[in-house]
Amino acid sequence: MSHAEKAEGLANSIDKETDGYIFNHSMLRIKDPKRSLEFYSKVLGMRLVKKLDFPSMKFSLYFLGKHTDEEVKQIPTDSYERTVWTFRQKGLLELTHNWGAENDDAVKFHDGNSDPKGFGHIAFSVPDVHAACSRFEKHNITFVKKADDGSMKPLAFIKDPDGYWIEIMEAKATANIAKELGTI
Amino acid sequence: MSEFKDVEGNCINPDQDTKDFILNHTMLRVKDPKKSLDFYTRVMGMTLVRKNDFPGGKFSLYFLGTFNEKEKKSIPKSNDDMRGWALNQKSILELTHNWGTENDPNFSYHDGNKEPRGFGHIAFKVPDVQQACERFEKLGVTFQKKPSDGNMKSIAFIKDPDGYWIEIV
Repeated sequence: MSHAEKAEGLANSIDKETDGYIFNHSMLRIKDPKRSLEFYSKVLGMRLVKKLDFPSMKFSLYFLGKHTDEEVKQIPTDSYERTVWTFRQKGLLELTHNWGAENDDAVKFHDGNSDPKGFGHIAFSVPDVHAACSRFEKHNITFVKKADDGSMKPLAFIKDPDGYWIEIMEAKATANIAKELGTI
Repeated sequence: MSEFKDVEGNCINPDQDTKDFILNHTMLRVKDPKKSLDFYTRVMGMTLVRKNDFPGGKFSLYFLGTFNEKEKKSIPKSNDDMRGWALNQKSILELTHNWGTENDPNFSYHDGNKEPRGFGHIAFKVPDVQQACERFEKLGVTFQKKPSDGNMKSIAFIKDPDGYWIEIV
């Protein structure tokens, strides 16, 4: 039995009726899609896979994913089929833009890490935290935590253009850090 | 992806240096892991793939994902391998529990959908929205929006035990 099979509240088994449920995306509100797309596509290498505009309600949705060149070739070109494909993927980020927010000084979004707290961050696994951080420094990205600050290293937190926190970690190294600092 | 080449700010050919970056997880703070684990495993069909307790900082982390049969078979058996594996997948939900919050009747987290706004929701694709919602009703889940409410009949929003919104699409 693995460590992840015992915890208070865990279901004894996965209900068959949930077959086909897929955790598809997380949604963040953004002030300015131009700067957010620049950040997520240029700096983090995500691809815009679907854009939905709702003129009557004056907002747009941007769906971004981290896809390989091979995966990109599988994406349907037909707009409707592409929407269907989008909702079947894992690991998408949805950015919601209310038109005009980019020109409104009063619009500033809450990152969830000061009161009132709630949402914490999104996280990217990278092959090499230090290499990724050098890249972020070149792009003048704001850091919450540099790779070797504090007791958890190498592990960094950067900020997106709205101030949302993004964890940058290496999968195996982070699992080892957690093992050293914590218990099973 | 060339149809999005004119979207301002969008780069259609990502830098090769980012090719192995994976958007791994979204983290939400939870008041009571017992309630949250029950909800995400029993109601949403997720599987817990990593759990870590940090007695020094008095907090625990829980990582869950939705996996099909093939994906489930690829989950490593050993604890150490499983943890590393969990951090290389897509669409993992990380729940952070600061010990003791579950016993404080006045404690609650902010869902991000009223001021100050920011984070909006997480979303689950289901094979049949109507059927999934009937099941959620039977299980006593709280709805933010039933499929029949508003203009968008094909989607629903439910709430998790902390009040975070979950889109059902």
